[in-house]
Amino acid sequence: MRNTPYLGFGLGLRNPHYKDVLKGTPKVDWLEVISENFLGRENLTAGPGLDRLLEIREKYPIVLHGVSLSIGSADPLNKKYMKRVKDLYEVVKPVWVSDHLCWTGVHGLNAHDLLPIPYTKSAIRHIVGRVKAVQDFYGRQILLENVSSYAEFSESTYTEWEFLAEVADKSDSGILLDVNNVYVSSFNHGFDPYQYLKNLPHDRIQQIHLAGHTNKGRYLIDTHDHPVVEKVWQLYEWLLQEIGPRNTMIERDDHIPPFEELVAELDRARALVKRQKRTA
Amino acid sequence: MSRDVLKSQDWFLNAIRSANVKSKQIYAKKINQTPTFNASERMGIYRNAYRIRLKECLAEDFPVTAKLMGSKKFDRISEDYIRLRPSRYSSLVDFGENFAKFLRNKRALSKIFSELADYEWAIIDCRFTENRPKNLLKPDQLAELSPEEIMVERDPSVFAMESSWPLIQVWRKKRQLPKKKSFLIVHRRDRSIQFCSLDAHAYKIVSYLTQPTSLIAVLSDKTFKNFDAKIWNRTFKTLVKNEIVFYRHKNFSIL
Ligand SMILES: [Fe+2]
Repeated sequence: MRNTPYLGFGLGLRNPHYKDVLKGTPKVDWLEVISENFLGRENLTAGPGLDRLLEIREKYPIVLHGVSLSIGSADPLNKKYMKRVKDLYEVVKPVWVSDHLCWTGVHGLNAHDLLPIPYTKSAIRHIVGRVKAVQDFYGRQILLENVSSYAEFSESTYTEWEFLAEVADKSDSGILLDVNNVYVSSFNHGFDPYQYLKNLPHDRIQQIHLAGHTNKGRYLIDTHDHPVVEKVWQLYEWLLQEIGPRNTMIERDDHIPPFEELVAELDRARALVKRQKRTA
Repeated sequence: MSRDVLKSQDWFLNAIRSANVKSKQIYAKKINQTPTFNASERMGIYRNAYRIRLKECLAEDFPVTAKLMGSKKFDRISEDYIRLRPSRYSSLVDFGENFAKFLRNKRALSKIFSELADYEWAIIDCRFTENRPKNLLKPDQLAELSPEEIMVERDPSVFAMESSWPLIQVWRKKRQLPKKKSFLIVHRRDRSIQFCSLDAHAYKIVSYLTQPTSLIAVLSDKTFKNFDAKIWNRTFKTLVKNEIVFYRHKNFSIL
């Protein structure tokens, strides 16, 4: 069921770090970039960003992560967007591709946010059909990432992990598990994050995101502007013991530190896997 | 399409786009709450994030327009834009596309703001333009060809505009300057975005070349009949040298 190769430890590549990667050879095994940053206006264009990415691809495997598929939306799939993404896949040849299990807008409007889905049977039916259509169109499997949330629809009849598991199983998609998002949502909605991790189809988890968040006291906000917190590292370590190593990366979108600092943070994940292999 | 999903999303999107916060009870009917984190606060996070994200996007794309307008006014106009021109784009990078036009339609607002916004949008847009083609004619190849075989083209990244203000200086100095007519272009040379003022002749040529045109057609067009040959040659040479205009063989040009 796992279709992606194990590449090890990666980072989400953001603008300030391009020069580090172009000039040096930092210790990362692969890099994830946001697909939308390389899409031209109407059609895919070989703009300066894409040139740079293709240069980087000579040194590191690239993974493409989208934010606009809006797989959960009640609107029809955005074929124009999908065509541009598919063209991008053909040029960049990413090792695997992903987007989020969420919706970003409806009636043609876009909130540009990763919004929560009502966890219902009809939503599962709706989304599974769409994921299959997307995978057919791209001619490849996609990974879907769990998003962090602040609101849950009272009409939901599934837990988030049941919903994610069922969508992934029925559509034969992979899971990009964001451990920080699990933690943030568990705090905000009062569920047990370990139960979440325990009950996912583990062989579908093909990539892991680690990130930081902001603690507002009564709730957490997923800001990607801090280092990974201890509780999230503990969840990650527990997960590794349960399912073994998975492609793991750190996401940082704000207050971006020097590249070496992120590489050092990533080394902690590396060390955890190494330690586990030794004790196994 | 699932009608239940549509209904929930319709409600959710309206709630985050709405200018008025609804009563706590209305949110609590649809959204789960806990004793320490009520439904209204939960929806408030999405409402605020929506507004902040779009406002920040405009402030980042139009920094000098915002500075000259003053933050309060810019903030108010951004709110209007978000309400009246909600994003229908798949990506946030396109959200500012109609902002200059929106400012232009505000009668009470000085035209300098819409012109600055046009200019700042060109800087953003430039990054997404096509690369210049590879098969260009070199100056020494031109002599061997007839003007019918040579196509004159504007670099795909070029954005040309005229302004009633010295817009480049206004943008550089980030302050108002007295009115003075100017012609300017924004374009991209490889990865770097360039800005330059043009004289009236150069501007006429650049704005004429909206599509590939054969050299013979350019030379015989009545638009340029009053051009002095010396000025014409000098202007053309400079435009080519600065990678604003280029020549291609007609067989390589897509009309
Ligand atoms: Fe993530």
